[in-house]
Amino acid sequence: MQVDSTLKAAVELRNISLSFDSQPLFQNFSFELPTEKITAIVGASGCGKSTLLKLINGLIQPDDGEIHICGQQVSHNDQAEWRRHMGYAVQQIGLFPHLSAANNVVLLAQLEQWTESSIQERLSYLAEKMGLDQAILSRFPHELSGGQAQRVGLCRAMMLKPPILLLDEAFSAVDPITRMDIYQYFLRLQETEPRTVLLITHDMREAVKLSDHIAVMQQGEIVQFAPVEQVVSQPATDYVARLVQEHI
Amino acid sequence: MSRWLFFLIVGLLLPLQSIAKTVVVGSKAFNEGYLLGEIIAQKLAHDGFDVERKLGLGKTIITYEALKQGEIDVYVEYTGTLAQAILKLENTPSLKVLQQRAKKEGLKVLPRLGFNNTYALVISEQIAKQNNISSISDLVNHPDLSLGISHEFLKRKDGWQPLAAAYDLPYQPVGIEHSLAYQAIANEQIAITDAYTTDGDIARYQLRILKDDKQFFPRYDAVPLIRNDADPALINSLQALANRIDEAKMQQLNSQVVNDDQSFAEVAEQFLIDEALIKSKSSESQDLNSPWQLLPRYIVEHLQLTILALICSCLVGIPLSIAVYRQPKASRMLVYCTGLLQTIPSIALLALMIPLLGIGWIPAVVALFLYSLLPIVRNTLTALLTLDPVMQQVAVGMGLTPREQLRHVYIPLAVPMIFSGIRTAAIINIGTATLAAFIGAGGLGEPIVMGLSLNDTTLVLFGAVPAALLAIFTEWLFEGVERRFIPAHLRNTLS
Repeated sequence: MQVDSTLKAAVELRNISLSFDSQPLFQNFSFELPTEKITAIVGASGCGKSTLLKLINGLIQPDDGEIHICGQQVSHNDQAEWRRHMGYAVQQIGLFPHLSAANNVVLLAQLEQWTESSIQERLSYLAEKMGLDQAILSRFPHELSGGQAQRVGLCRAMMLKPPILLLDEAFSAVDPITRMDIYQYFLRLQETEPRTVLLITHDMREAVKLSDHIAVMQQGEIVQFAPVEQVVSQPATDYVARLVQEHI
Repeated sequence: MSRWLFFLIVGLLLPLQSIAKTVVVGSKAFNEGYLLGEIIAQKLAHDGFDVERKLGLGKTIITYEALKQGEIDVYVEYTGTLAQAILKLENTPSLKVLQQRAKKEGLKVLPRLGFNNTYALVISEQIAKQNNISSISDLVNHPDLSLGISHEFLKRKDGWQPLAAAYDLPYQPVGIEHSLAYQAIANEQIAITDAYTTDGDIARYQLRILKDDKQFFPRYDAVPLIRNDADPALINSLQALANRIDEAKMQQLNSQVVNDDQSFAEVAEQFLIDEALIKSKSSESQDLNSPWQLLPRYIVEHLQLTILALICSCLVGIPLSIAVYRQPKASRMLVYCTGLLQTIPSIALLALMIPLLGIGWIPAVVALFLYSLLPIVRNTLTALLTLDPVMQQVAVGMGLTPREQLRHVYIPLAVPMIFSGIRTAAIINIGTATLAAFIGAGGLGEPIVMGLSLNDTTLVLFGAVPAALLAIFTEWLFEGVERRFIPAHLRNTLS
């Protein structure tokens, strides 16, 4: 595994081991997520990339090893608390159907007892950055197009200004043209509000387009972890080279 | 000083109590029961008692338990039933022995009203005259007469077989539906059938009751039954009815209700006036009005029962389901238990309630509450357990605490299914509540029970049609509420 020594860790996994039905997926796995950068984890389905994300936000417990977030080791108990500092968006989006788009976005802020004015301020800021107007925000999830729903999902994940954002194939469910638009919205926001982003994707093109660093994963191991240009120009293995070739 | 005060208060309260005390008259749910209950009620009212009627209380066990528990104060029982079904005696002893045995149970058996409503064989008057037949023994000499026996009497342990053996009767009887037997005699298809001695149809079809000269049939003398601790004035008043009604009289009274479409109240009042037991027409008889006038009361009572039970089962069922849904074992137990309740026949559940809760609306509400638990619990649990896995994952992943997940995701998304569970429960309740009349809880079951006992279809419809309409109306109401409050994309019912 190649590691760029300039990376600074916001999330760190140390010596993680995890098995499913006594089939080991991770063995002594370590990984650091650079602060305020977008890091993509690319790999075929089943390589363990989504599991990696769920380990970070505690949806899955490791059999062994440590997880550090912003320099602090987190135990299972505080992991739930940490989740509010880690925005979370998934491929199926999972907007709550009984809440309007706006209410989906502001739910966590309401639970955190933000004032109504700061909620509204944050909501309009995010909506503006993500190109969502008032009419869209007042709709219910089933009335939104795929692209709109995806952007609402991203707004929801970023409502509390979390320092960390976890995206599990969060751009995959829309057509390529809409996807390009959403990339633009997303990058614009990242520029004004830089945060540590973990982007799980099977799409090398998306990884190249969005991220600063790419980690290529294969069967529970990271085979190359480097800045985008380096992965593209100097693939560490044949597998990485093939991924780069096929997608770009 | 305090002693004087005590006596003063007691002295003040005593008359107050006796004035305020209401005598509750009960009866079983068949026409003779209603009629005798009405006669007693009018007599007591005439003698200055404050009377409440709880007539048509289902079967023996319900009426008897109601009397024992003090839910009613008097009803008319039959000595044979008292001996065998209640006191569990082998045969029917004399009234004196019965009175002694009943006393141990805390009950007092008053003197006979005068008639013995037992089984009998009846024969067409014309054939009886021609062949000079007056007793069952006389039949031995007429083996050519045809016999039609009701299916029940054919099967009973104390029915046809031992009767034929006791009298050595030379017949091969045909089984016949009791309701058709009299018509068959009128058409001369059969000559003899079994009957009850006070059956109103005996006079109508000109039948002769054959004398039970070997005293084969047990005696079913009608006697008012009260508790040992009954008010002496009540006993006095009821004793005036002793030996006033013989079999012929009872037949005639029954016939007036069944065949002449007179109300129980009218027949009872006329009887009491004829017997000089009351002086004149009282206003009391207006108490039993036409079904049209009573309909609003039936409906209101019915709704009260249903709604109260429904609210209780929501208040218990929904929180209970929410409390256990994360524990698979407890959830399964809950569904299992509420399902088990559902399998108890409603009439049995109502009977089981009596020793615990007496009769009236409380046990009825409790029974309905238990019945409506299953649809509510099952739907609530199903809704919570089958929540879209993506929603579950997102709710946890975004950092909602378990309580917040429940409050903001699980419950709101479960509401449509919980609501349709409540809807199902409401419809079930409206149907089941008709049975509440058997334990004196009123409602639309009252005209149904009374109508069934009188074989009066119109009266049955007075309960059944509004109950059906109420069910349909409830469907509409729930549909409307659903349309108003649950957004279309979250609904999951047929509407």
